[in-house]
Amino acid sequence: MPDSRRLELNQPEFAIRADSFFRLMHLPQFQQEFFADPGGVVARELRVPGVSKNRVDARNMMVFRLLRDEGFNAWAADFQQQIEDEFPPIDSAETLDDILLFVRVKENRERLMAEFSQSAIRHLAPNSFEDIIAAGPEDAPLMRAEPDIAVVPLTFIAIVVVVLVVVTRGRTVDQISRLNIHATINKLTEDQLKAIERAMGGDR
Amino acid sequence: MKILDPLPNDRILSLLLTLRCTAECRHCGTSSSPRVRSRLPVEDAKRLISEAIEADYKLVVFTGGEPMLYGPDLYELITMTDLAGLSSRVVTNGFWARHERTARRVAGRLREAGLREINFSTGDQHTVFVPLENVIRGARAALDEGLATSVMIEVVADASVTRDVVTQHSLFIQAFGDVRESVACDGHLINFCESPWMPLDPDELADYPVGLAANAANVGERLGCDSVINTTTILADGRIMACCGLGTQSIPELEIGHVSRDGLADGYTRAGDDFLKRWIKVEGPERILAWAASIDPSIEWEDRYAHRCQACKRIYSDHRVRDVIATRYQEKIPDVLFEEWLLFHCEQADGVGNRVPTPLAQERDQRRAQPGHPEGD
Repeated sequence: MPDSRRLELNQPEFAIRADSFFRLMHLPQFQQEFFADPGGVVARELRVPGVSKNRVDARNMMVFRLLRDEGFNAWAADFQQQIEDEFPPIDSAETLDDILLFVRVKENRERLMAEFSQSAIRHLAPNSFEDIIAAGPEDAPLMRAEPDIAVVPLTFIAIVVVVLVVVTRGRTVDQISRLNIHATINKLTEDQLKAIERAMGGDR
Repeated sequence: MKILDPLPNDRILSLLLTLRCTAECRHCGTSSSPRVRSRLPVEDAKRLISEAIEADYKLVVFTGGEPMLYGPDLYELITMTDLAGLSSRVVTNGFWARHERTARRVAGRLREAGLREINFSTGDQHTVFVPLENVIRGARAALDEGLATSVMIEVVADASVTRDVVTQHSLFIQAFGDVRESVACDGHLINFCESPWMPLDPDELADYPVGLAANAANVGERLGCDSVINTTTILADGRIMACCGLGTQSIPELEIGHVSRDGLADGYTRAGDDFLKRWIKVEGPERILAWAASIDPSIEWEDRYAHRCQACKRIYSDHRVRDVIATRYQEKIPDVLFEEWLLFHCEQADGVGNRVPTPLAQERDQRRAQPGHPEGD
């Protein structure tokens, strides 16, 4: 029998209060307060009764750490710069010939990606990286509970993912975003999450 | 835009100008057909576009039904959108591209009006009513006019119309002979998008290729819904909806107003005040179903839904899912808001200025410094 009630979780001025919450989250002191008592802070700031939660989601916390990691951001900026140096954005093309020129750099793109892979292998975590690459593009390697993957730093995993997205699926850099980081961390198993946090000295 | 920048929160206005269509596909997401005559008055469409301009929307989508049946008013609306600096897109089944000359004339007229993008819908259902050849002719004409061109193809198991079938069609080879290899290349020249076809009834299961439907193994890859809240859809009968999803009309909760009494801003605020819509935006319907099933194991969801709109319909129509959400949603609020902040607001660390070069940058600089490197001389 159909349910005639409307499933709407409306709260008075929820959108306004959420915007205020987002602004406050830029303040380090407020962030720490939220991480210490997420349920209490939300109940107070959003004025939603009955919220009880004493810990933020571990996966979200990992995304937060990554976005605040200077080393990862520096790597991402270099990665993007090199892609943009070698490949003009397709939307700058004015004629069909310009577009075809972009398409013809496909071979160069593959060479570039190979260079990135080799660079990561040499400078980040040789064994882990090679194992992940060897797992092949369709194997969703980060889903597998390989011991050496489980203990590599989170930053390394994120870098591998960004490279994998480009190398194996042929996507251009403008299609990579922090969504890829979210999706990657969502795929980690609970055991992998714990192992990574231990390796990072985390306090889950 | 840098790859780790906060995601854009761009807003889109989608106008279902008419539900009349030359096709009558089974499971049509908007219940359109040649017999339906609903039509959004052009005065309402103009007012809504004006509001979208004021509210800094980024794109206006003209769809239906078949928007090309809207007549000369369609071109006027496109021009109005273009003059205000907004992008516009037409979603069509390509029925009008019966001959090459007609296809070129219509595509040229759309371009002159100011259109930027065109999407052609095809697949096993559409080709019952509109020959694939029309889509090929239309796509070639649109490409030559400089329109960003996409071909959306329905995906079901054992489909007779696929991307390969399209690109190996004799007319395609003839029409795209000079650029065929490039057109067939993913994401270049023409964007081919193979999207699951879905029944509107969440209890009716479509037959999909293995691995396409959501399950515990792949649900982590499912991202938030980029349509709900950010896309405001106006149905031909004047209802304002909170997303552009298939089957939207059959979910009363997604109705956020009516053009006879509300503006876009009213609807946008209503949508944002509903935590469930924000939750769908951030986590997507598949992850919400998985969460509900973790609390009530009688909720079966795995390997059923390849199209997220069908998963969304399930959320709103299954009383067990509804009960779990209604009684337990408070515990999700901190995580959903945190994730929304991470996606759309959190500034990343400054990894660009005043830093020590990374090994990657050092390697690049060394390569450039080598004799013979094009940038080193």
